[in-house]
Amino acid sequence: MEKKKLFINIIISFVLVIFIGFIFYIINSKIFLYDEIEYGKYYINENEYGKVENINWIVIEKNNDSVLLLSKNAIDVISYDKKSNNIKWEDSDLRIFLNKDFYNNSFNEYEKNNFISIERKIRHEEKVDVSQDKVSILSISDIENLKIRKNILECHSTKYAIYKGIYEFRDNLVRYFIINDVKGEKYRYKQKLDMDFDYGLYGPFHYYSDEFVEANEEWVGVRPIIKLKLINGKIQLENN
Amino acid sequence: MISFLKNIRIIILLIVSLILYFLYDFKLFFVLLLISFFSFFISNLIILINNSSVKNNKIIAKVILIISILILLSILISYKYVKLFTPLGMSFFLYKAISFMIDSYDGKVDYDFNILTYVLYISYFPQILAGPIEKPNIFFIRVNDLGKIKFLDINRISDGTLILVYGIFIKFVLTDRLCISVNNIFSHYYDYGTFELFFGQILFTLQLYFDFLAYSYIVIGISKVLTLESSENFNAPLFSSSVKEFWRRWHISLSTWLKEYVYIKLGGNRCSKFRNSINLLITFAISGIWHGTNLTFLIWGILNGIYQMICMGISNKSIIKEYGMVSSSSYRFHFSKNLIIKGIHDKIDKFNIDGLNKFITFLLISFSFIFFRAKDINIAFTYIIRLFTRFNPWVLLNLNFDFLNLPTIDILIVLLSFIIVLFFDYKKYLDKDFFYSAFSNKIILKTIIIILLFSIVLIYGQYGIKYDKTAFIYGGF
Repeated sequence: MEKKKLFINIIISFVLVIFIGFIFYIINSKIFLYDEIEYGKYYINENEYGKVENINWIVIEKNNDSVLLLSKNAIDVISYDKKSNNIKWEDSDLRIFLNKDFYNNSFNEYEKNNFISIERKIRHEEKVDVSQDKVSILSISDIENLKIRKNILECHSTKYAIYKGIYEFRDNLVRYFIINDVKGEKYRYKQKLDMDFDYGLYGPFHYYSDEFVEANEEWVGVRPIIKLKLINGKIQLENN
Repeated sequence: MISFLKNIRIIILLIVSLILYFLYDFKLFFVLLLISFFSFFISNLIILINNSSVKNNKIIAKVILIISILILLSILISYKYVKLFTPLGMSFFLYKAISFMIDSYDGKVDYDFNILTYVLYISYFPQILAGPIEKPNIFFIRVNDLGKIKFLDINRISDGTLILVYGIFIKFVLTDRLCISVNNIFSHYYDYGTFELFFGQILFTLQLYFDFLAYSYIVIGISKVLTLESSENFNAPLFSSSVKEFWRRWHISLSTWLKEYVYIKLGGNRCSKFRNSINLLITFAISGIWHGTNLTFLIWGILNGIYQMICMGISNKSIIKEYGMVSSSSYRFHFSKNLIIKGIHDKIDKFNIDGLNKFITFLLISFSFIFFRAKDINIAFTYIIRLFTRFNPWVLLNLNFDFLNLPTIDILIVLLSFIIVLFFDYKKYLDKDFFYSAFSNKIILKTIIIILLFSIVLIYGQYGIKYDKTAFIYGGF
């Protein structure tokens, strides 16, 4: 190849490397939809006697001043409620676990400062119950309104959740509890449950095994969601 | 005119490829561009240094090459081993970039290329998900011929569409059903005995093969329609008579890449037998690591390396034993004379020995794939221990196939589609260009088969709201 052409190739590609590298640096310093973020610590690869590690989250909604994060994996196995199928989200064991044990133990004080409450409105017969949570789980409305991609909705579990007995389906995908806040036949395949209950399931299913799942099942995963405030497009971790 | 047509096609294919990757993940799109421009820059720099009269130019070029390869591999490692996921196609386009840099160093880049064709080489959308890892020289020669190919060639388009629909048929009708059975067996391995677990390893080998074969046909079909063709990645590996032959026929582009850029660079077989064995082991170990971060993949790779070492040992010993070739000076003479005798023997025993070899090869390969499929090393070894200790032949006598987790109609669909795919594979084993020679210029026949296959996919395919889509297995590597 001619020397002149080689020189031109080298100069063009060098300029492009610098230019694209610069854009990449700028992009990487901001938070975008579907970015992965580490926030808080929980048992990931070891059981409860082992060390805690960073929790990975995926940005599923981004506004100017806040982000909604969904845990990348099912992080634990907790029953929706130990007592009853016909349980309200507001009274469920899962809600208590997420907002007390999980919230208090997984995030330090600086991290807790960034939390914004997540509001849930669930219709129970004639009235709508409203609840505010620091940590919640996905609802069917979230899935519908935020148009979350299927590859993000599908998830695997942490090793800790496997130790706790989560059931893995094809490709090691797992099911996790969601809140049923829209109740109706239309969402039957997303819920895998009786349409009138407050809880549902998301995860792999197949028409050969379209079984009903109880609220107290101990093989279904938990994928928490949290809402954090943004300052200048970033999550601040200092005392602010 | 030819040059104009070529450039228009290059630009259209490039824009489509880049847009699709941008839509997949816009941050990774910049990683793709960065890797493309960086490797292009390094390749040109290496060619320039190699051709210059600078003192120690070869050493300088080599140092630049090694550092650049390490930089590219560190990107892959940071995703695979730190972030624990591999972005779509990253392994494949990084390997392409490394090929081009090594070829530049070796002075093999003697074809016309520019920055646009190079970025197209890296990002060509039919190949980006799971290859093939096209060799640079083959790709650029095809790109240079782009302007000469008539776009509206009904014969070529129907060929491509037939191969594409055939790939879709394999994926939706056969592979995704096999997937259900394999998942069930590997998820409940602790409930099953020898019979089911043996079935599990066989079915997974078939699932993996058909899944990747389907993907390859889809790539070949789309590429053919788009006039920029892709190479075959499989050549009927299920009919291989030895492990060595299997790896020549399975994932050809990766095997060729590893052979040319790892095995031969390590010294290949032009060294002592011991060193040759080590080279083989290293190459297969790298193949294992390339497939995944789990220890099971490393064991899978090493196991296949050991298979090859044993095969190499057996074939050397059997030649010496059979023909008494102990004198190195008369080696060539004896070898050629005895090959004729061997040829006659081979023809007589071909059916029995070859059939047995094929069967043993398949068993060995499918056994190694237990490590490929098992989620961790404990599961793999427990699976194998149960496979050899929990004999339960009565399952076969009872005709109890519940472990397949498929209704009878689906088992029949799997069997029928398996026979069809195996038949075409056998034809391909006998004649590599079977697809093209059998249907060449028979546009009506091709149209009928396309409609038929497409109808079968619509009626019997695993898709839609009630089914879970399964991703292409190699898309995850």
